[in-house]
Amino acid sequence: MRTTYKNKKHRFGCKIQIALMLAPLLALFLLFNVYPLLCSVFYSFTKYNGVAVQSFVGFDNYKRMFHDTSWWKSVWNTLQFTVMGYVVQVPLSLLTAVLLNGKIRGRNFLRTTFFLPNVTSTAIIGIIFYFMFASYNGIVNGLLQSVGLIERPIEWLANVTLAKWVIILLNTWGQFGFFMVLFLAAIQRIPLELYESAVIDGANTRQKFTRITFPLLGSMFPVITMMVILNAFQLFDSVKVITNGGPGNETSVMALHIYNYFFSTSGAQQGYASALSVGATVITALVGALYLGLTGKKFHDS
Amino acid sequence: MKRKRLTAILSSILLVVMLVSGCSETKNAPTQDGSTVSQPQGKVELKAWMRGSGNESTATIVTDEFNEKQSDIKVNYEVYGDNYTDVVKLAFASNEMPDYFSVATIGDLKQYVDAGYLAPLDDYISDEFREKINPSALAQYTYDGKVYGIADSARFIRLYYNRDLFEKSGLDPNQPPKTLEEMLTFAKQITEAGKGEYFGFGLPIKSGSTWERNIDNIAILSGLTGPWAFDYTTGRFDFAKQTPIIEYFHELYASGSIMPGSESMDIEMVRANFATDKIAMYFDGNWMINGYNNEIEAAKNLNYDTALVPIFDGQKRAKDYLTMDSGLAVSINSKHIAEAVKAIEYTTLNLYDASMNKYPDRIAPAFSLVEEVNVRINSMDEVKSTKGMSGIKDMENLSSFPVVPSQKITLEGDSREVVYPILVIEGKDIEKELQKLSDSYNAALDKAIEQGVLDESDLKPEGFDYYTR
Repeated sequence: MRTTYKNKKHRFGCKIQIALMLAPLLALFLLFNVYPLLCSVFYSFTKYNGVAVQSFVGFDNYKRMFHDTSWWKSVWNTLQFTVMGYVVQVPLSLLTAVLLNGKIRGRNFLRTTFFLPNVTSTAIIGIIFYFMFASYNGIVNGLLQSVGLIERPIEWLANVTLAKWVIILLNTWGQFGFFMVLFLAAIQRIPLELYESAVIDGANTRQKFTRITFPLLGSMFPVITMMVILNAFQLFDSVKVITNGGPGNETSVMALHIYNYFFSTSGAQQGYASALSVGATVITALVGALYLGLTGKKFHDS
Repeated sequence: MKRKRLTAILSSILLVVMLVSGCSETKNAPTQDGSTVSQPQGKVELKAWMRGSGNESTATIVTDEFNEKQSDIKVNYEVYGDNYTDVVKLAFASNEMPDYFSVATIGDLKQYVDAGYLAPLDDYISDEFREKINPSALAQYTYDGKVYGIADSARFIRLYYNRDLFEKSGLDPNQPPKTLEEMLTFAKQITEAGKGEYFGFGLPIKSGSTWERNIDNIAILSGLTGPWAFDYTTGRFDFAKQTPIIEYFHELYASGSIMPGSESMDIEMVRANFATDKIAMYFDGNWMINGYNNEIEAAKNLNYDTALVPIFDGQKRAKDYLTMDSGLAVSINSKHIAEAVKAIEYTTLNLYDASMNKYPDRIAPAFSLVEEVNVRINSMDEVKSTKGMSGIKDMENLSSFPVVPSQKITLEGDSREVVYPILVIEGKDIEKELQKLSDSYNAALDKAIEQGVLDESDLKPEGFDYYTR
């Protein structure tokens, strides 16, 4: 009897301790995450330009969202960037990880070099890429011209397809180093004995990769996939700096589209922008749910 | 283990100290902005906000002079650059407005008036001032019969061209293009002569204001539409009427005569390239004469001039497009409205004189809304002979539009600023896209009329004519 009482008391004390430790974070979370979120849900039902009093318009903003072709274009672009980002970044980072796991001279230097862009601000990378791909006096055009591959400078950022590839290239360069490190960590967890016995059985390098490394990495893929998806859905700064969604709206992404309505200098429409951000949240959640639904079993296994 | 715990405790203390000190710093900030600074007895202190890119501008110089010349009022001003409109909106929302401040566009002013943030100035403006100022400087800032602000200067667009590059390309620097056809030929010829070093034309596609300065302006001069393709003869938006001008700019773009990279250039970048002999021609506002002559260091050796904006061959020239977009307004919460208006009146009347008084060697033409100032300053020999003055004629042909509907509607769908770049770059589907634009702008127009934001009689003034307006 006494012990249970003591236990209870102990448990209660524990709970208080947990609550106290969580309180500061929770307070900040409520203030900076939950409150603004509720605010934007509220604004999404109003017409509001950031200055005048907001007027209630019901579901008008949401109806408008469904007919806004530019919005759906930026949603489509976001999905494109997600898929292309995945297709490019994941194999590249896996390949580098495998190569840098072997005995290569200067591998620590290379690992650091590939990881370095991660500690640089995307906006700054964006500005540098902007100068590199500038049509006039850009270093990329200069290189291609001096090698003789092109005669006239290429208008990288005026051509929609090229501009998208520049953005994908930027994000790949900026992010793949991080995924490489994750893959490296996973590779190094694989017991060496497996490779040793495979060598005794006469397996070559390709077989070692496809039969041992790749299957045993399995658990890392869902994590990285989720990260690529989330990164792509938050895509904003690089697009803003490099193309600002242009030419036209052709390279715009969800976050940029919302930003443009929220902070437009020629008449902000914050009510509609709020509805769009609620829409974006739903889309992101749907994609996330779809992904988890498809791979839920794998997550459990790992 | 113990040491680890000690480090943890120490670092958390440090964190808390940093947090607290960080917070207290922001707490102190509001008292630094000068609103409640102790005042010398009897002197009214005003807080003013201005928009500018440097520490000193004609507006700050004239305010300094105002402070020196009288002892009753002292204006403490602050200058904000980028995101000026956001700064003002935020200040309104948190009740931290200065007594008076500059308004970047008429569209902004309308928003502030609607939200009840501005004080009507009618009772404070002196008769003496009313007599001197161009009546449209007040009319543009009048809503429901009350004046809410005063425009500070006259703005209009001219062709800027580089005389040295004209000569290098075998063109006569005294003969700027008179028609758009001629401008295209010139641009091609210059680009060819430049061999990648310099180019015929500069178009800052990334700047939103580009289309007003380039396409609207030509449409107005050609008697086709008003700003944002609004047709005052029908009272509707009609973007299709701007088709020949869009096609013209596409041709210019496709010919390679526009400096490469224009799709990601803003107006500042075009100016920088014009100042350093990379761009031979572009359209810009009259105020840049002062900019190139006195403010931009890199333009010291620039040999340029201005000319009237060309129109298509055989077309009759309509009235020129005058805007009075920037001006000064007084916050409704100001306790010293009379004094603020006094400062604004002084600013408007002495804007150009003050700069010349302070820097006699900086010669610049005046574009004041006080006719007397323009006549006096612009007839001075040293002003007449300064660079860039050739295009500063025909000032009587300038006329503003009393109502610019695009500034008052809430558009659903892509704006013209989003659609035009792709039309100029690709030149495809122009008709279809312009129809879409007209549809969405007119839908927003109907809504604005329905809500009483716009009055139909203002949209279709009786007997309106682009040539006599």
